[in-house]
Amino acid sequence: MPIKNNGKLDRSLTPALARVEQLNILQPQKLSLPNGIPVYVFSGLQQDAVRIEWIFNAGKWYEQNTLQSSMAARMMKEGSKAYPSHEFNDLLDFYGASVKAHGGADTASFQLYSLNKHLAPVLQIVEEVVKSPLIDPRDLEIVTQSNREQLKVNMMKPDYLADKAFTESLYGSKHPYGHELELEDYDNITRDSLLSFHKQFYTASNCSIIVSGNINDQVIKLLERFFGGADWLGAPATVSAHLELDSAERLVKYDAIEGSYQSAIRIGKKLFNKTNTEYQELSVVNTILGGYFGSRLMSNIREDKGYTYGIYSGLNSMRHGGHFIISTEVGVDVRQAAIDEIYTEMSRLQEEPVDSEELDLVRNYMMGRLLNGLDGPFKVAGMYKGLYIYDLDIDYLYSLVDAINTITPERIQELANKYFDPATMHEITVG
Amino acid sequence: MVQYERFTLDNGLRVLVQEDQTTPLAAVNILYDVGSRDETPEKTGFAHLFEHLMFEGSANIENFDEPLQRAGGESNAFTNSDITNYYDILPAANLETAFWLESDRMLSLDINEESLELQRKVVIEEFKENYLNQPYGDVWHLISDLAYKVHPYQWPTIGKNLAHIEAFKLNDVTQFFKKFYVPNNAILVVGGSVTVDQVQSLSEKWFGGIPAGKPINRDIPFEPIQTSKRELEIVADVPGDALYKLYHMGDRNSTNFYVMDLVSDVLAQGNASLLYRRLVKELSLFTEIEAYTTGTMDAGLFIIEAKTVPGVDMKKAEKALDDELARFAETRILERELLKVKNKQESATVFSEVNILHRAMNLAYYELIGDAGLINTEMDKYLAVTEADVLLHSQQVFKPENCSTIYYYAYKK
Repeated sequence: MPIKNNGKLDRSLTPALARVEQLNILQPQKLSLPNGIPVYVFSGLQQDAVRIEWIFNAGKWYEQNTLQSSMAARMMKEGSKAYPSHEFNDLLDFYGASVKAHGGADTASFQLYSLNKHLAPVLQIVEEVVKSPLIDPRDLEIVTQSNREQLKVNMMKPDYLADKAFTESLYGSKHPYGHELELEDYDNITRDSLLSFHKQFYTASNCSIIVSGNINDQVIKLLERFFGGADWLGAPATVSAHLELDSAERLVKYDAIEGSYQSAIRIGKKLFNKTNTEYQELSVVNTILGGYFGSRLMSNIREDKGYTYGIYSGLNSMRHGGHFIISTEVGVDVRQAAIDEIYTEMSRLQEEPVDSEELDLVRNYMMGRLLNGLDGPFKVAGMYKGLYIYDLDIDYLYSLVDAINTITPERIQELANKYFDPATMHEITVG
Repeated sequence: MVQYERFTLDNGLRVLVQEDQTTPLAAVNILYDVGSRDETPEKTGFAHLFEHLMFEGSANIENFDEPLQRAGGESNAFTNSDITNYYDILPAANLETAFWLESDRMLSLDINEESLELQRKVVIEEFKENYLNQPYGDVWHLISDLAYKVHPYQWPTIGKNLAHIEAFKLNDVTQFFKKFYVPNNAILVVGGSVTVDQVQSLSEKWFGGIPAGKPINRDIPFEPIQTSKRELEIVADVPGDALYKLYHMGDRNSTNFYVMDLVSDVLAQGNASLLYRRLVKELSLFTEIEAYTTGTMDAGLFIIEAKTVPGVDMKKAEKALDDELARFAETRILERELLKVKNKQESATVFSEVNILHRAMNLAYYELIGDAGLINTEMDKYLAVTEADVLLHSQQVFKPENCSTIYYYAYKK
C-alpha cells in the first residue's frame, strides 16, 4: 500500500546508502574460428540485436604514410567489387544495418550493428568489404575532399590546435601517437597505398572478433562461414619501432589567437599505459583530481570560479605508451588564473592527505561507474576491447575494484608526488 | 515491447515505471514541461540557465551531485526549445537517494545571488565555447531568427545574446521556479531494477507532499504561414561556403512529421541517399549534405545543410539542389526505397531500447506529447506512411515560398 504523506517527512535525513562491494561481470565465451581468429562472445541481450566488431592490428602504429590507417578503415564503408559503394550502402540500409570504421592509435576496427533476423544477408555483404574493399578512386576523392574540409574547420578551433600541440610536444610530430593531421597529409593518399596497407594488415592472422548482443549458435555459424576460411590468412603484423621524442623536460607554450573568446588549455605529461602496476591506483588519484563532475578541478575552476564550462583530467592509454592530460577551455581574460588554480589543485594533492569523506565518495562513485559501464553485453564488450589489446582479461577489472576499495590517503599522496608534480608538466595554451 | 505502469499523484505528478530486472541499476528521469519556447523575447536563454541552477542545492541539500555520487550515481540534464530533462543513474539499491534529491529540489530549490552569479559565468563560457569560438558557431542563431518571426523558436535555447544572460535577476529565478517547477508540470519515469510498488510508495513519500502549482496556460503564438522566400547572406571567417535551406513543416505529433522524417532519410541519410548520390558523387557540387527535421512540439523545420566544393558557385549548386527537390516532389518514390527507410527506423528503435536510461527518457517524452504508449506504437506510424503520402507532403513542404535560405560565405582573404 502506498504510504500517505502527512507532512512529517524529515527531509534533512539522508536515505541509507548501500555500498556496491563487488561486481558480477559477464565473462566472455572464448572460441576460435577454423582459421584461428579468436572470437570473444558476450551474450544475453533481450533485444533481437547484435554487434560484431572486427579488430585488426592496423592502427597508426603500423603506418608507413600518415592517414593510411584511418583512410583504409574509412574506405571499408565504400563497398567492394561485388557491392560497390552505392549498392553496399543501399543494401545495408535496406536491412537496417549500419557499420562504423575507425583507425586508432594501435588497432583499426570495423563494427557492424544488425538485427539478428537480417544477419545472414548482411554478413554476406560485409564479408568482401572486410577482406578486399574496392577503394574506388572517385569515392576516395570524395571522402578525401570532405575530410579535408572538416580538418579546415578543426584547424580554426583552439581546442583542436591545443590537442595537436600537446601530443606533438609529448611524442614528437613524426611519432604515430604524436602526429595530428595537417592538410598536406591528404596530398599523399593514393589508392595503391591504401590497398597495400589493407592487404598487409587486414588478414585473419591479424584479426580478433568481439561479438555481443543476442547471440546464438546461428551467429557463430555465420561467422565461421564468412570469416573462418583460409582464404585470407595473411601474416601477423610485426611490431615496428618508432623513434620517440624525449619529452621529460617541461615545456610551456602559449599561442595567442587574436579575437578569440576562449583559450584552450592542455596540461600533462607522458606516463605509461594500463598494464603498469601503478595505473589502477593512479586512476583513483586522477578521478579525485579531475575525473568526474565532483572532482577538485571541476569544483574549483567551474563551480567556484566560473572560469569554464568544463574541465577534466584523464589517463590516456595506448599499447606502447600513455599520458596524463588535463583539458579545458576558459575565458581568455582568466587564462593565467585558471592555470594557476590547476597547479594549486595538483600541489594540494601532493601536500595534504585526502580526507576519508572525499575518498569514500570517490570509491562509491567509481564503483557505480563500473557497475554502469558493465551493464549489459554491449557495454561489457566495449570494456573488454579496452583490455584484450593489452593482453588483459576481465580479472583486471576485479583488481581495479581492489585498488578502488583499498587505496589509502598516504598512497594517494605518494602517487601524486611521484606523478602529478606541477614542475614536470607540459603546459600548452591556444587562443 | 516495452512494458510499463503509469499512475498520477494527487498533486498531478505523473509517474511511469519501467521494470527491468536484468540490470543492477535504476534510472530516474524527470521531465519538466518547460523550454525556451516559454521565454519572452526580452529574456531569452533563461530556461537553460535555470537548468544549471537546479544543481546548486535545495533546502536540505547543499549540493545536488555530491550525495548522488556518494551513492554511486551520476546525473545530468539538457534543455531544448520544448523541455528541460533531468536524469540520474545509480545502483538500484540506492534508488531512494535519487527520490530524496529530486523531490527536494522540486519542493524547495535554494538559489542566492552568489549561485546565480556563478552559473551565469559558467553559461557565458558555454555560450562562447559552442556558439562564438568556432566556425559556423552562430548558425543556429541565424536559422532561428530567419525562419521564425513570431513564435519563440526564433531564438536558440542558449539565448539570443550574452546581454540577456547577463541581465537576469534573482527575482526571475523565483518566478520561473514557482510557475514551471511544480509536480503538475513534471513527468517522473523510474526504470531498471525496481518494482511498481516500491516506486509508488517512494513517490508518495517524497513527492506526495509537494503542493501542486497553478495550471499553466500557455499562450504561445502560432508562426504565420510563410508566403514568400527569405534569404540571408553572411560573410564570415570560416574555411568554406555553406548553404542552409529551412522549410516549415508540421509539429512532432502531425502526420507530416512522420512522413518528412522518413523523407529526410531518403534524401540525405548516408551514401546511398538521393542527394548524396546526385549532388556529391555525380555532380561534385557539395562535399557533404545533410537533411533533418527539428522535431519540435510546435510546428518545426525541415533543414538541408550542405558545404560546397571549394571553387563551386553556391548559387549554381543551390539550383541543382532545388531541381532535385522539385523532381522528388513530382515523382512517386519507389516502394523499395520507402521500405528501406522503414527498416532503418525499426532497427534504430530496437537499438535505442537497449539502454535503460534511453527507455526512461523516451517514455517521459512520449507521455508529454500525449501517449507513453508511443514507445511501442510509434513504429506503426512510420509503417503507415505510403508513397502517396510522401508525394503529397513533399509538395507541401518543398515550395519555394516556404523556404528560407542562408548563404554562408567564407571571407575571401
